[in-house]
Amino acid sequence: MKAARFHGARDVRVSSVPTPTPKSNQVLVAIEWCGICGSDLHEYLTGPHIIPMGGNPHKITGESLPVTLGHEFCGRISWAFEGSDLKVGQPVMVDPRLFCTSCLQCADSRTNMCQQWGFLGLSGTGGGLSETVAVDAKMCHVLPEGVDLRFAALIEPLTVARHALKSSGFDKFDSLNILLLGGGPVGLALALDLKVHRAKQIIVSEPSAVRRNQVAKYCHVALNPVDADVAEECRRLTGGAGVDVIFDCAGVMPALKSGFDAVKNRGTYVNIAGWQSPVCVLYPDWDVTDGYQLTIPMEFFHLKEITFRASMSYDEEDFTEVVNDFVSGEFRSSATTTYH
Amino acid sequence: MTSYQASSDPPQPQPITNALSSVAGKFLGIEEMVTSRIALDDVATRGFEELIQNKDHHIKILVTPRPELLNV
Repeated sequence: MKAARFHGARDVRVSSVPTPTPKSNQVLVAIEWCGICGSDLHEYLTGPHIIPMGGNPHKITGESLPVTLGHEFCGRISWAFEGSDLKVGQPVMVDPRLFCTSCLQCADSRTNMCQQWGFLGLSGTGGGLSETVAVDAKMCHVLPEGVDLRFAALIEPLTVARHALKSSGFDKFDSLNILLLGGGPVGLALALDLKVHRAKQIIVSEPSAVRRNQVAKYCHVALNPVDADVAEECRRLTGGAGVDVIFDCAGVMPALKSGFDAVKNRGTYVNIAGWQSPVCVLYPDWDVTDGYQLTIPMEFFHLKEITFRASMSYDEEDFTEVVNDFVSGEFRSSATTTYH
Repeated sequence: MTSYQASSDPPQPQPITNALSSVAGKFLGIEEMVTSRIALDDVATRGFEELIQNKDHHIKILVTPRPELLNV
């Protein structure tokens, strides 16, 4: 079968590889759609980073590069073992995470922080940028027949967003003013999920005009941090107080600093971004040293008693919730829906 | 809503109204996240290189190993 494999920076080749042989707990999924993620691009530009190199294979998979890429994928069951609840032809979205199940974190149901964490599509044993993947049956989320699989792969980035909302420490958002730093795929997924949670006000800071115009459809105000004083605008939009919660989907110092300035006293800052990301390559006019360092602006952090939190990946509960929300009202199509 | 425009009065949060079909349950308007669909054979050029060369024009590129799905 065909598979797109990572051999090194800027070296991804579609080649013929053996169709996987499932283990006793695995089913085969025939891939329909797979997204390209920011972390894939990071590997492509300057990797390998997460992808294991020869001599240091991944502890769970035992594999190293070349590995098949792609961890945001959906498809249909093409083979299931006898006794499995899964049936051939069923549409599924795959939770692509690999975790050991035995470390302290896994034992504590915090599989997103497994000490040996990995992903199908980065850590070996196949990925979504291929024709077929062998997957642990427990990691397949069955979607209803008739679901639009053309969009189901987006469940994965939405799950990243869902975990971030929980990592904020809040469970209700309807009275909160939110600032999103970065309007890329994760920022947009957060805006979508904040709409589901009926956030009071969603403000996004995004320097790219194209991305800003896209995310503007999903938020109340989209600011250009190059032209506008983001913190000042946030205060103006919140009666002078500042925003309640910041989600950092940018991972660069100018954005972090504007966020610490924009947040209200005792507000919360949640980092989702992978710092040392290629974002500085993508925005070459920003100072690279700024982009690769995280420095806490103490004048805001200390004086405003800001809470600084982080969100890492997602877990089973996040995935199940997002799948349920994704298929909720599936057949009430063409509805005109009003936010609020 | 549109992008930021300077104004002297603080704008109030306005309802976001979308006339969008629900292809993804509660995630209304999600389809606009998909900015390109390509075949697996083209993933290096029309996927990864495209995301580097035209980064601002993309949110999510989706790839299929089955080219016939591109025409659905």
